[in-house]
Amino acid sequence: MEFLPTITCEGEYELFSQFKDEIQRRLSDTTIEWKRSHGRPSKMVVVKGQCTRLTKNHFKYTIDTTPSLCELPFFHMFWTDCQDFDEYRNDVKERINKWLKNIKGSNSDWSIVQVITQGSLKGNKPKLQLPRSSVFDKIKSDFGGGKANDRCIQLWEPSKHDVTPRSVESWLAFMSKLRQSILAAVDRNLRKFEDKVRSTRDKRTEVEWDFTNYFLCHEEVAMVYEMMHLNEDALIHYDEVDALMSQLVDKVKTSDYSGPLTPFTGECWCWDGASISSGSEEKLREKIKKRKATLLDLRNYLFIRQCALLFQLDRVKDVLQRMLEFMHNIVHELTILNVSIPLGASACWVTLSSLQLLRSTIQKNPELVTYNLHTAQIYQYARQKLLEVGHLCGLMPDDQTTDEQVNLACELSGGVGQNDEGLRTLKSFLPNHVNYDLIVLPDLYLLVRFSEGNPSNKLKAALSSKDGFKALYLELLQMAIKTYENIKRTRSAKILGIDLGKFYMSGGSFGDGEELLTEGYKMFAEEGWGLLAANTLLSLAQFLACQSHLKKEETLYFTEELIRLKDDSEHKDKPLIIRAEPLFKPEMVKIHLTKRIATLGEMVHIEIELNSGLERDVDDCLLRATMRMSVTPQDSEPIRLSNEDHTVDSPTVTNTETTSNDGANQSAGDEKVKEKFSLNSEKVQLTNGKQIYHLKGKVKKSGTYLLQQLLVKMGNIHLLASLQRLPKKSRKFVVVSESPMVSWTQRTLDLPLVAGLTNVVSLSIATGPAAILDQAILEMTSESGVLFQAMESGQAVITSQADEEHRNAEYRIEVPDQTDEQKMSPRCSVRLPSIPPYHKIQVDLLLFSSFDETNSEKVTVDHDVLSSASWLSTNHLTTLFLNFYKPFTFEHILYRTKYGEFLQVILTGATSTEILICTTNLESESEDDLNRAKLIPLHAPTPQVLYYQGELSFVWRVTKEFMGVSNFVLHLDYCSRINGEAGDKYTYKHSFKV
Amino acid sequence: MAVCVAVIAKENHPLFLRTMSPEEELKFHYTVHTSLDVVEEKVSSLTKSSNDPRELYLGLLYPTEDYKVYGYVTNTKIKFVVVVESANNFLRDNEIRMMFQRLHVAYTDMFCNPFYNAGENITSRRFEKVVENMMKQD
Repeated sequence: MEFLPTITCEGEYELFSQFKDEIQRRLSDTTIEWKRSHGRPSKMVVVKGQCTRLTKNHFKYTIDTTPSLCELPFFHMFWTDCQDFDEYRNDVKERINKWLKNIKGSNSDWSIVQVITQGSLKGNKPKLQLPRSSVFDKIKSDFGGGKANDRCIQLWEPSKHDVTPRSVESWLAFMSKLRQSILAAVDRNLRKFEDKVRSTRDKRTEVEWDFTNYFLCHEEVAMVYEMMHLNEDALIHYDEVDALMSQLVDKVKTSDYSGPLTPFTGECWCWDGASISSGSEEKLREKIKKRKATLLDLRNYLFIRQCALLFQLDRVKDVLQRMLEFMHNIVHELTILNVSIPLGASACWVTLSSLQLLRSTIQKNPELVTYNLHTAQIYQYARQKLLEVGHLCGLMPDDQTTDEQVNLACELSGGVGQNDEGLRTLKSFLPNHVNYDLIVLPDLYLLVRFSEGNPSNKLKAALSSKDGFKALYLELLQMAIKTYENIKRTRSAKILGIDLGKFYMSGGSFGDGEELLTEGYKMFAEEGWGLLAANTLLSLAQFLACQSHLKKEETLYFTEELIRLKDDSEHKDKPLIIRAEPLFKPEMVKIHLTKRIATLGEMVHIEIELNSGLERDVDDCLLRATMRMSVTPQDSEPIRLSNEDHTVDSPTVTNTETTSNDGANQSAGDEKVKEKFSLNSEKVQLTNGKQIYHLKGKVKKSGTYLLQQLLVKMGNIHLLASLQRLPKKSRKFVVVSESPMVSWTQRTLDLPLVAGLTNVVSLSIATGPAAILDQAILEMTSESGVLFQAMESGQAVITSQADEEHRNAEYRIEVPDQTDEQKMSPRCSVRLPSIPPYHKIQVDLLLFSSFDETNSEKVTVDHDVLSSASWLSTNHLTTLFLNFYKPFTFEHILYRTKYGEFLQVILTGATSTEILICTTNLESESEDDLNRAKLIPLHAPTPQVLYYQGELSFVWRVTKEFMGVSNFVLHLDYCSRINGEAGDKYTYKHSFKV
Repeated sequence: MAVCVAVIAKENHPLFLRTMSPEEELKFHYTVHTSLDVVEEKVSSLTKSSNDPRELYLGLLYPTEDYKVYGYVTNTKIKFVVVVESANNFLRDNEIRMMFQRLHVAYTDMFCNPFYNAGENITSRRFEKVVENMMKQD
């Protein structure tokens, strides 16, 4: 609606009406300087006018009583084309007098216009023209008074202004005069009216005060400014009204009485959004005038007027900025004023207003809107409100809509589109300068596309079905995200992205949602916003009970859910693999090894402190820590391990994202990559909070290991936690497989070993960094004829390397194929006690070496013994050498005397070991008995001791004729004698020839 | 007065966040986190323009339907964020400024504790008391 000052016309109205439009058009052609009172700067303004015939109504009000400036005449004109004196005198003068009398009271300026046309001249031709004075002069002198030149105007040939210069001139003079007069009238009236508005406003505390009245008055002031193209000033006045209204609302807040705003707090059944169009402007104004407006109507009207002015001023940005604040305010005002409006209607209003207002701004300046912060915020707000509506009406994808919700949706839908004018208004509003073909930016294109389509219909569609709702909601949300991204507000964009993801998920599109949520999670995690990250995770994995930040009920719920899943038979065959963190958090890991070195095959014990977020204790859980060899061992011998370890499905957490899915596949291909071992716990109870669990296991290959990941098995659920967050040092240990040093002790080397006797030989085994575990077996073999004797239990001495501590330990020597007769064997196993690293053990072995006379020159018998540590993966053999001294040597002498023949055998002690010769028995060996010599011993039968270098002689008398060369066998029973005690008895057969 | 007070580290992780009602903590986490966008924007535009670089108060960061979010950034890039209810019209800009100054002083005092390391969560009881006072007043 436009305000136009009323110009009245009297006299030759037919004549006037020919030029009415021309006058109205010409009025606003040029600007005119407006000199203002109170020293305010002058401005160039435009004046407009609306010409009507003078009626009685024009005198109804004066400036003090008029409700509206429209009712007042601003200027009066009397038109005449009279050029005849007689006519003038008889008729026209009278009419002018009457007219002047009439308009006197209206307090407006006036003028008399005499139109001179060819036609009128023609008619008077016969009459004599007196050159001195004309009718115009007469008029001037009769009515002009002091301002005669101003008030009386001649218009020459007005219809021929394009041909005669005189006409042009007269037009210009007339219009200029008219403009001046109207402006003067406007100035005068406006001043008075502003005073009136001010005084009205000051009375606002009075009970009778009427807001609508005031509003319409004040708006008129604004309209006058707008008419003059002083949009800035007009806006100020609208803002004043706006501010006053907000002030009134504020007052209500404190007093609980809605006061002058009471008329607007009635029932509201229409929540059409604010829509910038002249059509809705008029409708709303009409409503306000008729006092049928609701708060929303009033506010909508006020706001769209403001927006229209801002658009005129080309301040699209301000429109956007005001929009958000406007919507926030109104939502609050509705509650403050307690307007009775259905639930969700205000949300509908916000959504609709956003859509409509944005559409208008986009069409004004698409680029600006695309890259504007407020646009993003408006979209965000709109989608927030739409979400509200969605929840209320059960339109969310995972909602079950109830009857009440359907009713509500219908009700809400009914309040939409009542003031709608559809696309017609949109078309009328399209600015001409936007050429849509030129829009190349895709975002922009999207925006413009978005702006098409009727917002009311969109909202109605959204209210009527889930699909419609989804379409609109996604549209709003995506636009918000896009705009935030455009202006580089990544956090805002990502948080909205999370919402989008959740929405997708609630609709079952997990794939779409996951990425968005992961994005959001990453951002929160990177920036250290634990609570937010946790919440995002919560949405991401609906069944995962999360961090301590969450409420107890929530975690409890997820715990139950988890426990339910654990026994779910659905996952029996294929366990559900999920990431353990942050439900289970490994806090600490401790490896029980001295210097972090383990021996191959040793049981490695570790402790893991686990912080469980489960609200309940869960029984029968298994923990397994898997590790990885980080450095390949030095001994590159390709030994295939027994592979129970490989069949175990222990997926690796290498990358936090891929954990859950590819765990199972990975284990199959693992074998080639790296050997893995794991440490397992017994079945344990997982308790809430921090708890230490013990794990153990054997490592069967040497190398450096790093504990990689923890697997918590709860029934069918496998939770994986990476241990890589813990310090590397605490997770690392080395498995060594160094073979021990096996050697004879010095004592063994010092003492001569005696063949033919059981010798106690001390074997020294020195461990390096690798310990020897209990019951480890050291295999001893000899192929050169050394025999080992079994030992049930022997006492070994273990000493540390620095000879600091001694302790005894038991060991055993086992001999295979042991029988009663044959107690000795060329093989034996030494079952060792456990020996810590860097220690030495001495074990005694019982060795026996036979000797013979084949090489009688040699006094020693050489042997080699092989030892091998069976616990080592590599078959490491150590060869040990031993020399045995023959215990004695023989000498035989045959005496032939006349008394007979005598055979003397001399034994010489060859070692320091004393040997007790128990019995000697000499036999001759011959093919036939006849020829056999009979031997009668002549020496004493008592046992005799043979000392080192000592000699023992045994003499036999050969009774039968000694027949040349004969073979003899000497059977010797002997035993060692140590410290006067005799040892085991041995028999030795000595064959010789004489 | 304030419904939420937050202190955010230079690296943008939260050092302290207190809300009037604990149920709303999550919501305000989102609010405060989002405000970082605006803080960054304002800080970078502050250095570019010839505005007084000593001005630490960033003013209104963004309004929502129910709340207004204000920001303040120290010279060491510690950010303070205060959320007030938008219905609270009596709160003038100057009062918000004062709140931030009090918060800054409290933070400085807290930081003087030799056992406090930069970047750790704030657990000081005195600091908490100041914040609680800010939320109580009205």
